[in-house]
Amino acid sequence: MQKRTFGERKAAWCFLAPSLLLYGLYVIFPIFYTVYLSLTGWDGMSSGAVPLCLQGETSCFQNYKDLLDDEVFWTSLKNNIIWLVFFSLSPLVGLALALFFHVKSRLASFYKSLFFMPMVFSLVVVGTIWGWFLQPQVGLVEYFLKAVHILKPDEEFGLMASFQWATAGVILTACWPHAAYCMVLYLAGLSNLQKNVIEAALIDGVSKWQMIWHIILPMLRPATVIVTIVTMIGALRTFDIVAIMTGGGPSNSSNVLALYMYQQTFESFRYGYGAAIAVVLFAISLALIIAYLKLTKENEN
Amino acid sequence: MEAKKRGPVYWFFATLLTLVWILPILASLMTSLKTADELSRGKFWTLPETLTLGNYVEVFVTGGFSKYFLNSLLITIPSVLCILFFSSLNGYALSKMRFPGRQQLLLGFVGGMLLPFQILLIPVFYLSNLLGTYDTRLGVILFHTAFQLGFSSFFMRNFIKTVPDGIIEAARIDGCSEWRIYRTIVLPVLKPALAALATLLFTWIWNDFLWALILIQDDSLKPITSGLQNLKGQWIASYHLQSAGAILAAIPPVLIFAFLQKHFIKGLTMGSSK
Repeated sequence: MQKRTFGERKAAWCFLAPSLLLYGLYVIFPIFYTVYLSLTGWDGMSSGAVPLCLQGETSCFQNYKDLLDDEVFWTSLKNNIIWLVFFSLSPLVGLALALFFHVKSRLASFYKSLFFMPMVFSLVVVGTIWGWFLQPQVGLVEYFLKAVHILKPDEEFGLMASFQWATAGVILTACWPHAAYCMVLYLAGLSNLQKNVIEAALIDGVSKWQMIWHIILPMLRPATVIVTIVTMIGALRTFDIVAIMTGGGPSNSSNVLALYMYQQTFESFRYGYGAAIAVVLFAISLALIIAYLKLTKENEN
Repeated sequence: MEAKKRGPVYWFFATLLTLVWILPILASLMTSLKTADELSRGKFWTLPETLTLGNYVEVFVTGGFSKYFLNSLLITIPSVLCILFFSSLNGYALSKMRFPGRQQLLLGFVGGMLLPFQILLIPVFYLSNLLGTYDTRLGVILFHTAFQLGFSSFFMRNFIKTVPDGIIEAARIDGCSEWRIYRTIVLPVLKPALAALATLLFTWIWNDFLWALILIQDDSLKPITSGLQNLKGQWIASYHLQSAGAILAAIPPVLIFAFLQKHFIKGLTMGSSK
């Protein structure tokens, strides 16, 4: 018996070794290294990254102090919060669509497949086609708004050129594939509902809305937890679609932390500063996820 | 609730809703088949007067999409195969072998899924330079493999957990080596899980934009997502070519989804239904 557990242990580590090496190098080590780099003024070129306080700066946390005075950082942070709020439209849309299409029929299955399609597109594809739909003069949206007389023929639809609205345009675009994803998760949840509870409620003569609110939604909780987490992470780490659609502009008004981190690091070669932005983003994600998981646990008790 | 038949009003709205939802796809398809001449006359949103595949040919040949397409395949397929192999090994070890630190390892794999990529960017870039894999397809493959191992190992572990312990214990008592148990007992029952995971991984890696942007500089090695971004910058306002490029980039994941939809959905929903 002793010998067998030993053999099992040895085999386990043999099976895991290649993965642990790769995962350690590319995922675990980088987290710590980024935290370290955020305390340095590395420019990516000079031979090594040395902590700022050993380079004559008064504090190793100078990058973080600089962030506090950086207007673009605050704009990006604000935009990430706007993302968090409005990206949450997609779970609602996804849930509504799932409830609407939760029907057993061939045609409904076909429609559902069409609905899911945006989910498998690269965000570069989504951003490319929507970036053009939202353009003034040549875009589909302006054409449509003029056709239904919401816009006058001589007016322009300037959403993406607007300081206030560019972010809204990008978020709405991102909701298209993400709502489809949420719909898939909710449909799976719906197909696992306990039928006897629903039948009992039907016998009791529960109204449709009561049914959805008091019976179906609580049973969809596991799906909701997953949907909420992927939506939060999605909103915080959004990069591709902003880079493709606006590049953070006009003049940084639609920038987000992930893109600003990239620009500072790989375009301005401020590696230490970029690392500090990454650490802030990481800390926010961690805090939000932990807070949310705690909240759901408390609710369960 | 689901057994109830739906009336014509329901189907009317269902059809309308679906059409509106896929309108962007239809509009891009339509534009990709139009001639440049028609667009230059301002006819953006009318049905094409003449249909042409010329835009696709131009994007593929002049726009370099033939090489971008090939690069995407050469990055995606090896990554998926490596991940399937390693994650199934991990899944077996994490679900059927007893060793100290198992729970912590699992937590480490799950936690990785939730990371914002930015926390990894600089060190991975630096590491690739150090290992000499910067600006090679191998560099991107290594990163994708490492990163996706988190989710994939967790996925495999959950699936292998459902294999009865008795079969594996019996094989161990018979003196079967762990490697042989993996190959002859675990792997064969793993087929549906491998299929589900493969469709997901293919789509995710094919669609990656950020990591190729960071790790590849040479245009002849870039995948199709970078290619599409190039095309957008090069041929500004050539919406017929941009649409053709976007559709070319979307075809492989859409095909996978169309033919393996069941596996895809099963993979995606594995966590939420339990």
